Amino acid sequence: MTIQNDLLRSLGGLGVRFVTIGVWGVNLYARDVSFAFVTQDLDLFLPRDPENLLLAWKACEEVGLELRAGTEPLDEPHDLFVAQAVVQRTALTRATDGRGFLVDLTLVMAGFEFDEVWAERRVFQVHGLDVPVARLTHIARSKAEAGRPKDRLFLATHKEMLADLIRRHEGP
Amino acid sequence: MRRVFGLMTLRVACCAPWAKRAGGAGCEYPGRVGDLPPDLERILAQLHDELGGIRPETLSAAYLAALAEIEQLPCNQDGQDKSWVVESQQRWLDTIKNSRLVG
Repeated sequence: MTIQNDLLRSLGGLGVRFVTIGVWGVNLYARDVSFAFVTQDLDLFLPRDPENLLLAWKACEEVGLELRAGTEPLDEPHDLFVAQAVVQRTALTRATDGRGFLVDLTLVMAGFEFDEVWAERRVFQVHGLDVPVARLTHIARSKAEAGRPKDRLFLATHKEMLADLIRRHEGP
Repeated sequence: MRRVFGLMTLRVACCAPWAKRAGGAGCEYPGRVGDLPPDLERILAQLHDELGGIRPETLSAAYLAALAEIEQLPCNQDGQDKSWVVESQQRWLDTIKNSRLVG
């Protein structure tokens, strides 16, 4: 059992509201392995709700992940006061096992509000666990909106992967 | 070694930080899996600045239609088991990790 599974179980057990976005989310729509990207990063989009964020932190810590804000450890104690400050700044918190596995807890998804993404989410099963995932279209549109070099690279690569399918939709 | 990884490695090694780099024996970038080579990172940052920072991209109707079609596949409906995705990811990461032990 991987730490990802442990984390998903912990998030579910604590009733954390989140949707999976980013490349990890895109992979869940892959038809087979040739359409998947290799990634260790798990991007979770959370509502701007300090109590929910606090629960997400707790889930991460339950499975032994260390919480960071930027390059520094997240301020202690990890309580509602700190969670409120993070939400107010819509800051990113990151959880890591120190061995390459990163979980980004983001309160921002370019071009979208949480409720919109949540309302249209898919819920897939991974090893018996419910995994809420943003719509593939939402993830791609958000990356287009963000427009960072890495997003543009992702989109270029993804389009290349789907070239045959895209051509069919382009028509003659 | 690279031939073993095939197209997936070629794609991820050349393209992006979100996709993982297979650092084979003698790899110059033994940092975290997924990091871009420093020179590529620098070039991208430079391009980003030169082009005026964030530039939202317009997605074509055909691409969006392709995404919608993928979303509608039976395998992409609520409740579908996606354990194989996570398992295949783990196998890839194990392969990458093991490849770094060689040499």
